[in-house]
Amino acid sequence: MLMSDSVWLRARRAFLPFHGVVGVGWGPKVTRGKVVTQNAIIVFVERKLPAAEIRDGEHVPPTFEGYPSDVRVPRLVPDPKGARDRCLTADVRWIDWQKLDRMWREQHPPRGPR
Amino acid sequence: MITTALVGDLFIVMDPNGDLVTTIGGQQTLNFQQIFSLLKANSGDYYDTMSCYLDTGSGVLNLGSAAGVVYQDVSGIGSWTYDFRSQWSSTRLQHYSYYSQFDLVTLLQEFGHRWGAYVKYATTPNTPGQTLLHQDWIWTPGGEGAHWGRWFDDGNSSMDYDQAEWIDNGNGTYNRIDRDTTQPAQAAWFGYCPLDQYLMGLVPDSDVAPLKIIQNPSPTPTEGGPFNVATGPYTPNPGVATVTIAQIQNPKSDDPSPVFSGPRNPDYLSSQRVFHNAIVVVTKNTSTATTFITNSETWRQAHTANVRKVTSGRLMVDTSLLRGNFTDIYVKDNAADAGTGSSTGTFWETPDLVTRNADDNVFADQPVIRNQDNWIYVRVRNKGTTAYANVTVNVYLQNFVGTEFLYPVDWAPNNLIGTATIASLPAASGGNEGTAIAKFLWPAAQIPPAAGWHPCLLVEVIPMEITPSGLHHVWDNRKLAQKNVTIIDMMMMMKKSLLINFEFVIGHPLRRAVGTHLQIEAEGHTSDVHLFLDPGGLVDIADHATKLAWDIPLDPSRIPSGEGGVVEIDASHPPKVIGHARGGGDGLVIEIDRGTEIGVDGLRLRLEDDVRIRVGGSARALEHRHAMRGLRPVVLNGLPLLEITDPHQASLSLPLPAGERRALRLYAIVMRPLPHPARYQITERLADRVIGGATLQLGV
Repeated sequence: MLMSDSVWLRARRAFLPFHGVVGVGWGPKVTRGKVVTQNAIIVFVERKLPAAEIRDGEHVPPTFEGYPSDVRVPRLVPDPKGARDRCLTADVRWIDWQKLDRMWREQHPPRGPR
Repeated sequence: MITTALVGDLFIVMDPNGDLVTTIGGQQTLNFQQIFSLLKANSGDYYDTMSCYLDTGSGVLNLGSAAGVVYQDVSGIGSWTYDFRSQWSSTRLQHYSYYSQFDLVTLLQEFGHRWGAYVKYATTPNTPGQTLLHQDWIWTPGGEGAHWGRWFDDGNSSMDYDQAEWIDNGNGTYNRIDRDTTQPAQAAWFGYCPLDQYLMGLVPDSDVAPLKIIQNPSPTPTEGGPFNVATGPYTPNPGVATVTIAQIQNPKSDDPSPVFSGPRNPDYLSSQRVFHNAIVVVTKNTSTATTFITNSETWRQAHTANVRKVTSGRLMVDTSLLRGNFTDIYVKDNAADAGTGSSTGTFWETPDLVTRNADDNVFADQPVIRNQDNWIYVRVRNKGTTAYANVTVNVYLQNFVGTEFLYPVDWAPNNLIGTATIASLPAASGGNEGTAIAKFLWPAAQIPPAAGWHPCLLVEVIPMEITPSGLHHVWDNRKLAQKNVTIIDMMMMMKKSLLINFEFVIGHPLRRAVGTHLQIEAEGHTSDVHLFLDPGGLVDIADHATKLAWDIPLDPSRIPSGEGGVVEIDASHPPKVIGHARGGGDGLVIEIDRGTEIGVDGLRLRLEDDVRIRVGGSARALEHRHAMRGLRPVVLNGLPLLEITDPHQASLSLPLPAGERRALRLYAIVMRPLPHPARYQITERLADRVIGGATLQLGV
């Protein structure tokens, strides 16, 4: 049964358009290196910003429809010291590659005729 | 500037300037959606999964390895279901992965992330989800949600990080063997544990034995070696916890959606079994003649073989790149099969496979000769106007005559006779299909020794079709063929009469349906052949049978089989009827002894012989119950059999339980050499569809 609507998809639709958000996932909320709850909305951002630098209307609330939210930077490169810690699926699977593609196009504008 | 190339079945993306790099905050990654767009533009939208091999040695970013799911339609695996295909402009893609290292375990793990390892369990229904399967996690927090933890005794699963095995010492302690997956010999031990395979839709939940969790082992295990040696003992505290598959299926009170729990849906009978996996090499080199590309081809081929090996053939991953005309490539199921997709009629006598006693380039069938090498030739056809490169042909042996074979499970790697590659399959020309012959040596050691136990040969052509992708039959797929014909060259051995035991198997372990219908049809039959069917205990013959005595070496203690499955006999005396059916049928049977007198007042009726009178019912109840045609229940020399009285259209229904295979026997007593070959087709039908068959041919 494919879901066209769910709390996660609603969170995704709500937060993905925010500037700097590159994915919205579901899973454990990690605080200071420890899992504090199993079911949370994870909002993956390019970088964590002070509240004052976040655009109006783009603050991620602490909860979404009753589930806690967690804002963090996705781990996209392996730890060079962690020989076995090199599968990055836990974060990568939530990345929105369509948004990354848009960002990539902004970073690589088509070259005009010379 | 990004350019692309094809090298065999690899799609090469050459990005010398790093144009695919995108920066996210302080991290760099690659635009995998753009890479998929390039793949799709060049090699079509045929793939269920895309794997990107990153040539870090050329300067491509080292991104470790990772996977993501684009389309998730499976419930009961601890995940949401969703469909993001439109974002990838695809109608087929469901998974992508990328790799900076290439050991077998990494390749299996990232592929396995399509389904796992996400599940939790609840001790009882509707209680909170428990995470023991994912403890203890000593790596980056958050990763435990997608991998098994160190405490879980997950056997040879590739879906963990510790890559270690727990060994039960039988005294409450455990030893542990850590393996170095960069060493091929140690990596080869890994695969998918039964829980992984359940989540992948490959086995039923009943195959998942209770799972053991070695809690809080003392001392705490180390990581990173020593490798391939047992360490320990470790004592679990407070002991070993057990998790059952039912607890994994239990609905959890904190499930965010019902799709997270419950039995996997689709289950192992309805799940996808054939995947197409495009392999994309991302490199900064502008040459395609590199060691990395050569190695990538090795890894590509190894992945297909390895997935089959570790799933015992339950899953087929075709890593070939599909060209636009891949549906033009086919093997015939029968002479009328034009490769349109699904064929009709007899499908187990492909004319495109022959066996030869020598590599003599003659495309005509010869009976296999044991104790020597034989050859198998497979003809592959191309009905399109473009040649096709890199066509792989695999031939498998099933060492029994089965009526039903299901792809891919019965094309299992342990049954592989050989692999051949056709470098270029010619295009059709002048109204003729392009053809090429793939040759296989069939070594004497691989030829079944038992004369009465005849092999069935199964063919698979790669590029595989993209549909059907679940379990399916030969007739469903133009890339599959089956040769299930047993030819007995009687002239080589026949001086007197022959007794032949043709053993065959009906049913399939993966069949849901109860009951089956069997049909025997003869072609070229003569009255010199007497046929009897042993229905494998599925028909209650004894009380309904005519009793026969025949002076031939066939009785419960003398079943010809193995090397003696075909024996010369003296059958010069015909069988004698020595008794008739005693009971059977519906209604009441009254037996009256001879000498009984019935009558009143001077009118007396005396019975001079024993008499049996049936009141109501039918004497042919057995025949009615089994919808028998052309068959007569007999007990021949003490063997309960069905005599085939009309070989041209004999049939019956059998109460075969679901998921069961049953061995049946067709006995043929051949009185004298036949003037021409006689063929006996045995077919199995379900709901008016022939789902399998085997053929016995007497004479060549």
